[in-house]
Amino acid sequence: MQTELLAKYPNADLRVYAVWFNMFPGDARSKWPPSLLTDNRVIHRWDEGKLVGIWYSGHTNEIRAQLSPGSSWNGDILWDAYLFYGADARWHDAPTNLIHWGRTIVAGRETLRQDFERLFGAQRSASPQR
Amino acid sequence: MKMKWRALVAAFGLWLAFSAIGARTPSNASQLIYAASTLGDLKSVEELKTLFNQDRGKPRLVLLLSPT
Repeated sequence: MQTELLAKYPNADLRVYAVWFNMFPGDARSKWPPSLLTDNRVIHRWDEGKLVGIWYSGHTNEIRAQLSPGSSWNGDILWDAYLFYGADARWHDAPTNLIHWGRTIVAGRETLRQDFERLFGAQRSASPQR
Repeated sequence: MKMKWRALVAAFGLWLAFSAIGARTPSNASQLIYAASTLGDLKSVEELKTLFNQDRGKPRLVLLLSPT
């Protein structure tokens, strides 16, 4: 994520929310890897109750059409997943303007890469060469 | 005399060390601002919703991750 997307679009004006929670027996807050996503557009949050994963899992039927090719999902807690929203998205009952979501992140990364290129590609080519 | 010489050498060593730290501090500090990540606690979905709506006008990417 850091090298494949964020570093490629350093001028992209976006926000990333990295929500971390335990899913494997060995998982713990103390095992959070601080050096994995160091881009200053990323906000990290520890979700001890898996609240966000549970919440999204209850809403996946509504967003099934935006599931990226190669992704699949059926479970109680959505994790190892991304959800990419447009600039006009607003969250009342649920976030609007979902562009794509993917699970696993690796399975959906090509779609995410294409979405980044479509949204931020012009900014990248306009940025000064170093 | 020998003691005085040793004290002078020690003082010079200290000065050298602090000078080196002082010379490096500004650039290193600015790098740290961008490199250091912090992990805050999320107590509710509502908190994510608030952050999400505060950033309206930007594309937003939500990542759901486990630490290992």
